[in-house]
Amino acid sequence: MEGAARDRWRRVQEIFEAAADLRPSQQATYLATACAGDGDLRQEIEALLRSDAEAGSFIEHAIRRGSDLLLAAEPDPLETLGKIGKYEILGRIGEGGFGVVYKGRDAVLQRYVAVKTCSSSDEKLRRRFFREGQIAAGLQHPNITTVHDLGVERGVPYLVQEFLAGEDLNHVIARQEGLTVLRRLDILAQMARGLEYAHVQGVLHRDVKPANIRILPSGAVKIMDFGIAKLLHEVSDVTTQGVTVGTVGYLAPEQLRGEAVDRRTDIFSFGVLAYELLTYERPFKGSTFSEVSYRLLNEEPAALRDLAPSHSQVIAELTRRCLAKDPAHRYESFGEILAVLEPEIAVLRSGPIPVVLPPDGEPAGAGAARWRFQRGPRRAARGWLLAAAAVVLAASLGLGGRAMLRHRPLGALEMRRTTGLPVGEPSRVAAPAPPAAVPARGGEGQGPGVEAAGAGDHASPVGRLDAGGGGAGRPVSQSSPVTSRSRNAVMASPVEGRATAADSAARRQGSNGRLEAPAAAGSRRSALATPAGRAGSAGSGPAEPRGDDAGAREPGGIRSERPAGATASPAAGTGTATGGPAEEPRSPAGAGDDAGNAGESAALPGAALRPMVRGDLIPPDAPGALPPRLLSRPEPQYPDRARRRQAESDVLMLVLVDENGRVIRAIVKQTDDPGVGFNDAARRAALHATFQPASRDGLPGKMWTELPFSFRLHQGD
Amino acid sequence: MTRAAAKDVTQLLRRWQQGDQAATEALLPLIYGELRKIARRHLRGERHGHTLEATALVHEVYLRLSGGEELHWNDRVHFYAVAAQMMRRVLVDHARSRDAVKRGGSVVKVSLDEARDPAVESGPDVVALDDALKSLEVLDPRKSRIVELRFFGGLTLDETAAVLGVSVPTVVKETRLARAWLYSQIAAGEPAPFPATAQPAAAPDRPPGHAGPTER
Repeated sequence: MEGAARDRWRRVQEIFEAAADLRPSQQATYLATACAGDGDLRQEIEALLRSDAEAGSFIEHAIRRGSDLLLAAEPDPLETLGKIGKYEILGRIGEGGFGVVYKGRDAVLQRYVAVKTCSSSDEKLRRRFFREGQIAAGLQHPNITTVHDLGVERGVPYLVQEFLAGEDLNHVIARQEGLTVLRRLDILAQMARGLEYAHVQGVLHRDVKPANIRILPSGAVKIMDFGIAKLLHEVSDVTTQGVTVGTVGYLAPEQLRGEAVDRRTDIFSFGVLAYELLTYERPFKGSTFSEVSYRLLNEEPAALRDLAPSHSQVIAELTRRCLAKDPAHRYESFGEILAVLEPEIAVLRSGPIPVVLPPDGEPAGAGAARWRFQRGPRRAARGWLLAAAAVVLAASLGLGGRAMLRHRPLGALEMRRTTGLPVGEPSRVAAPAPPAAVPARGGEGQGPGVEAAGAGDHASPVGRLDAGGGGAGRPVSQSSPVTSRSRNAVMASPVEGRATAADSAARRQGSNGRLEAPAAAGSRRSALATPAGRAGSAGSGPAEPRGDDAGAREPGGIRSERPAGATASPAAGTGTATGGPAEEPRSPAGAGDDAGNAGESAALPGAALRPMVRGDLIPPDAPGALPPRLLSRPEPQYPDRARRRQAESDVLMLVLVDENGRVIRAIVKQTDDPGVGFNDAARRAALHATFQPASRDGLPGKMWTELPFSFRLHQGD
Repeated sequence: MTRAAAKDVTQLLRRWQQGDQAATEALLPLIYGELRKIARRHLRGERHGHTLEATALVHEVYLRLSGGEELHWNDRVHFYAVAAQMMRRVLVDHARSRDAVKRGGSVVKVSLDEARDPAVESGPDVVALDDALKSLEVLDPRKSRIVELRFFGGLTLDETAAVLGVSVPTVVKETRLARAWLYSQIAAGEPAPFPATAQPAAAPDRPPGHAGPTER
C-alpha cells in the first residue's frame, strides 16, 4: 500500500475509534471537526459507524453456516456398504439436502442408475421421503425422470432413478453461452409439458429450479425429484439442512410465507427459472436469504426486455405473469403457458421465412416490394404468422370453434400429439406463400425428434384470436382483430397490391405502436399490452378457451383452410372484414403488442415495412441510419472502494439513446469490475452522457450504442 | 491418535512457528482429515440437533490431534492459529466448490426457522466473508489476521494478543473496526439491482429486522 493510502487508513482508524464510543448525537459534531471538510473521509467513517451498529455477529454466523455446510456434506453411512439394495454403488453424483446421490449399477438389468438416499436422522423426514418416492414413481412422462425402484436399506430409504447423462440446467445457465433463443424456449416448453402432465396427475413439484432440471445430450429435458426436493423446506427440525440463498429465489411467495401451495406455485418457480434462463439474471437477487426473500415478496423484477431486449414481448409477458406475486394473477396451468410458448417456438423453428423488403427508405406496400429469405430470429415474421393463422382459423371455426375451445380437457397435451399435423406436410415448401407456410412449418418444426406438438401448438394463438374475433362484441375478442388486421394488412399488401385501406390502417397502428416501441417504453407497454397471442387468456380463469385445443379439435378445419391461406389475399380480406372495428376499447392492447413487435423487429429487415417515424428504435445496421454521436460525457467518479484497493477497470456500457440525444437506458455489456463499484460509476456517468441522436431518413430515433469507460488510477491516487 | 502423531503435530507446529511453510501444508491434511471424521460422527446423529460452532470444531480437532494431551500453551495457541487458517480454507473451499456453478458464488445455508429468527438472521456467507477478508488483508493485514484467529480459530483475546504480539485492548479495538469494515465492504459489494432509473444505485434496502443485535 502506498504511503498516502496508509496515512488515510490510519486517520480513518483514529477517527472511527474515537467516534465509535460517542453517543450518536455527539458523533456528528465530532466528525465535523475531525474530518475537517474532508467529505469523503467523513462519509467513509459514517458508513463504518453504521456498519458497526448493524454488523452484529455476522462473522460468527457466516462461519457457523459454513461449518454447517461442511458437516451436512459428510459421507452417507450407506456409502461404506458398497451396495444399496441390489445396486452396486459406483460413486457419488452429488449431495442432496438430506442425503447423497450415488451412481449405481443394476447388475441384473445391466444398467446404470442414480440412487438417492435420505440418511437424515429425522424419522418423519425419512417416512415422507419414502412416500414422496412412491408418488414420484407413478409419474411417467418423457420430461420427468423415471423412478425405477424404491427401498429401505438399514433404515435409510433410497430412491432409484434412471441415470441421466448430460448436465443440470444451473450449470448450463452458469456458462451463459451456447443457447439460442429457440433452444431456451424449447427447454422451457419441455419443462412445461412435464409439469403439466404431473399437475394433471395431481402431483406438484414444489421445488422447480435449474438444479432440478437435467438437460440430456440429446436435448431432451428431464425434471428431477418430483415432490422430494421440497421436503427440505418443510422439515424444520433438521438444522443442518435448509434453504440456500441460491435456492430461496425460486420459491413462490406463498411458499416463503408458509401458505398453501398449488400448481401455481410451480408456475411461479418456473417463471423465475425462465427469467433466469432468458436473461442470465435472477429476477430476485441478493446475497442474503432475507434480502432475496424480501425482494421476492415485495419487489417486481426488472422487465425482461430491459435485460434482454431480443426477447419478444410475448415472452416478456409470459415471465411477468408467471412471476405475479398473487397466484390468482398467474397462469392457471402449464397448458396455458404452453399455449404461449409453442407458437413462439414454431415461429422460430420455421426455417427460412419470406419477408417483404421494400427498397430502402420506401414505405412497404409499394410495387417494388420483393421477397427475401431471412434466417435467424424473425420477430417481424411472427406478426404475420399470427395474423395469417388467425385469419385462417377465424374463417374456419367461427363461433362453433370457440364453443369447442371452452371444453378443452386437461389431457389435451396427449391429444395434441395424436392430432398434430403429419410431419413434412407438403404445404411447408412454398416460401412466397406465407400464410400457407404457417401451420405446416410449425408442424414440421415440432417434428418427431422433439417433444410433441403439431397443428395444435402453433394454432394456439389462432384459436385464441378466433375465439375473440368470431365473437363480435365479446370483450376478449376486441384486441385480436385489430392486431391481426393490422399485421395481416401489412403483410398481405405486397402480395395483393391493393389492400390500401387496410394498409393505411395498419400503418396507423404501426406508427402508433412504434411510439411506444423502444425499450424505454417497456413498462408502459407492458401495462397496456396484452399480446395478441394471449388475448384470449388475459385475465382469464381456468375455463378460458385455449387455442391449442382449436388445433387439436379441428385439424380438419385448419387443413381445409390452408389452401385458402395459400392464396393469401382472400384470407386476409376475410380477416379484415370480419375483424370488427379497429377502434375498440381494447385496441390499445393491439397497438401495444404491435409496439412490442415493432421494437424487436426494428432489428430485423422486416422492420423496414413501416416508414420511419420520429422516435423509432433504429437498428444499428438499418440502411440510411446514422448512429448517435457522443457530444459530452461526464467523467465517471472513481469508486472509493476501488481506489482504496488500487483497482482499475474497463467497463463497456450499452446505452439506449433517445431521439433527443439523451440516454434512457444503460446496461453493462462488458466489465472486469471485481465488485468495487466500477459498474455503478460507469452506469451513472453513462446516463448523463449526451448525444446527437441517431437518425434515419433524416428523422431522429432511438438507437442502442456502446459507450466505453476506462478507469485508471492517476499518480497520487 | 497416537502419541507419536501428537508429537508430529507438535513438531510441525514448531517448524511452522519458525516460518516453515511446508509445515503448514503438512498440517492441513491432518486437520482436514479430523474435520471430516468429526463431521461424519456428527452426521450419524451422535450430536444431532446441535450445530457445531467453528470454534468447537477447532477445539475438537485439536484434542484429537494432540491425543487428548495438553500441548504446551504456546504450542496449543499456535496450533489454533494454524487451525484458524485451515478452518477458513476448508470452510470457504467447501462452500465455493459446492456452489461453484451458481453465479454469485455464494451460498448461505440456513434453515428457514433460523432465518426467521432475527438474532440468527442470515447475513453474508462465508465466501463473501472470505472475499472481504482478502481485501482487508491488503489494507490492513493484522486486522484480517485478528478476525481469522478469533472467529475461525476461536482464539481468546489473550491468545490472539499473544500470537500477534499486541495488547488485548488493541485486539478489541481492531476487531471492532475490522468487523465494521468487513460488513460495509460486503454490503457495498452486493450486486446492485438492475438500474431501471437514472438514479444512482444505492446499497440495496435491507429488509426490516436485518440488523442483528450488536455483540458488545
